[in-house]
Amino acid sequence: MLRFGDYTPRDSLLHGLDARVKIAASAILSVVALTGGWSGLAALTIAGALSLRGAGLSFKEVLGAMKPLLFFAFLLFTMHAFFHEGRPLIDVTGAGVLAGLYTAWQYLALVAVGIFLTATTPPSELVAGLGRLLRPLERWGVPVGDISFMVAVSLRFIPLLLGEYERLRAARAARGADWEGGVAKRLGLAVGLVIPLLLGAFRRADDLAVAVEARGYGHRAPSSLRGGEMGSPDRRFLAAVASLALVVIVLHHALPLP
Amino acid sequence: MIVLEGVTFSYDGGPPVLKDVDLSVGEGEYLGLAGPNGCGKTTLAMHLNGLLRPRAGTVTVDGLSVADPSSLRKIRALVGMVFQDPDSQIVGMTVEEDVAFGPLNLGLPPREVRRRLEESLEQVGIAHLRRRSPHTLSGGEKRLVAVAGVLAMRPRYIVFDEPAAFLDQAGRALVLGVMNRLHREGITIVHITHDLADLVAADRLVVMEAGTVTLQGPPPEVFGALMEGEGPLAPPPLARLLWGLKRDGFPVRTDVLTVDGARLTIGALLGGR
Ligand SMILES: Nc1ncnc2c1ncn2[C@@H]1O[C@H](COP(=O)(O)OP(=O)(O)O)[C@@H](O)[C@H]1O
Ligand SMILES: [Mg+2]
Repeated sequence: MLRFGDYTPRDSLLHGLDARVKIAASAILSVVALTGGWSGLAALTIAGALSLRGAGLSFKEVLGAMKPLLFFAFLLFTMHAFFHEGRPLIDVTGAGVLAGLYTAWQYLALVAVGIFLTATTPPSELVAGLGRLLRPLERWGVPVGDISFMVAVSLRFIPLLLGEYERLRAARAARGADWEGGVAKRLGLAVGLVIPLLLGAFRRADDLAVAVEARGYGHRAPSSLRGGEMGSPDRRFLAAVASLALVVIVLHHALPLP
Repeated sequence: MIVLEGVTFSYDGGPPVLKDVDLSVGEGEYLGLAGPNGCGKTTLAMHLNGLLRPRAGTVTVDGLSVADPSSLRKIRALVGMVFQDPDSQIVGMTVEEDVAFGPLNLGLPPREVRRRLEESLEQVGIAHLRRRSPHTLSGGEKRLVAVAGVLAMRPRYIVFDEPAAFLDQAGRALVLGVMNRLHREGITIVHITHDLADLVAADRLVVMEAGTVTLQGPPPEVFGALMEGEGPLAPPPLARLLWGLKRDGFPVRTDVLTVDGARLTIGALLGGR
């Protein structure tokens, strides 16, 4: 089962693309979703459905990943349908319903773009890609390389910390700590969990610093497995996304399309 | 060859943890380093590739001094470290990514990184785990990922700090088996442990006590000295049995360290078949 934000290793066209290209494409498509009007959303949705295969995903999977977020879409819809321009509506008007549908659709389109991006790009590549896109900032002294490494390592340690948290909680429970009772008591228990967790994390960070030094980190800018060059599939994909965006936005603003 | 001469070290403001240590690690050797908890084994290990610099004395690796900052990068590539806790050493989100981490830090081109990645995964037999997240692996598998990550740097020496700690029987056999194979393939091994039973096959044993080297030599000799109470550790059970029999006046061999060797020498004593 695919969850929102999860990466799923497959062999697909999108999986093979450079992370930077996918990040840029997601940004462009988000702009389309936000400014392209009804026709833009329709074009996005059709394009998304047609690209499912190219992303190695199934319709069911994408729907499944969207499911927990549907409630929020519904919330957006009702807010617009019943509270138009900040005032509660006595009777639901067509305009309110339309505005609600539009906003909910926009939101779901953005969610879908996110699912396509994260499902086809490993988190580490996402971070590395973002790092490389931001590399020009290094000219102003921003240590982009180190920051993206830190973010990537933090991602790796989340499951580990969760595991430690579970162990600590189980150990407490085994010694009779129960979470029933007043706020103060529960707060006390939570603090008793967080402090050892933090101490453990600091110790681990120390060990990790030594370990990455031992593995040659920090002597020079590391090379990248993806290579510096974008291939022609990368360029073609980006060109396709950019032209789609251009056509949709121009049509939306030049023609009387909704 | 790694050579330590008169190495003394203390952590900031603390008492000396290493005191005037002389030690050499020969090319192609399987060196066992043993001692009770807290005697300074890990601290010594970190001197072998310049993660720590001695307060007094010198450390050289193939003639390169760890005191020379311009040699450090080379030394780190020559001497790989497998730390006690693989979770504090694995940085990749996937096995593949982690193994590639070192070679990428060396600035190698992608094609060479891929080649080393494949070879290292094969060498420790974890190619099938390549796409897995480290946190889904068993303790033994994690340790092998750490070993593969070090191998991808193509080191001449690998230091293993308590490689069998926290592993079950199967995990232990797996990791020690890989270490033996790497040794046969020509890599120099420094194996640190508080459990002498893991070191019976070592070429040479070094025993530490409170920051100093107190004994060294081939395992049978060191076990003999330990039987005389000359060191801080008890020899492994088999050695205790043979030395005990010998002390009781039975003419058994004490230079055999395997169950089969012991069976033969005790069998001979019992009159054979
Ligand atoms: N980072 C550190 N800071 C201060 N003291 C340390 C540090 N690491 C280890 N020590 C101390 O140095 C001594 C030797 O530790 P260590 O080298 O880890 O021993 P071993 O690996 O043989 O168990 C211990 O007394 C320990 O408390
Ligand atoms: Mg130790």
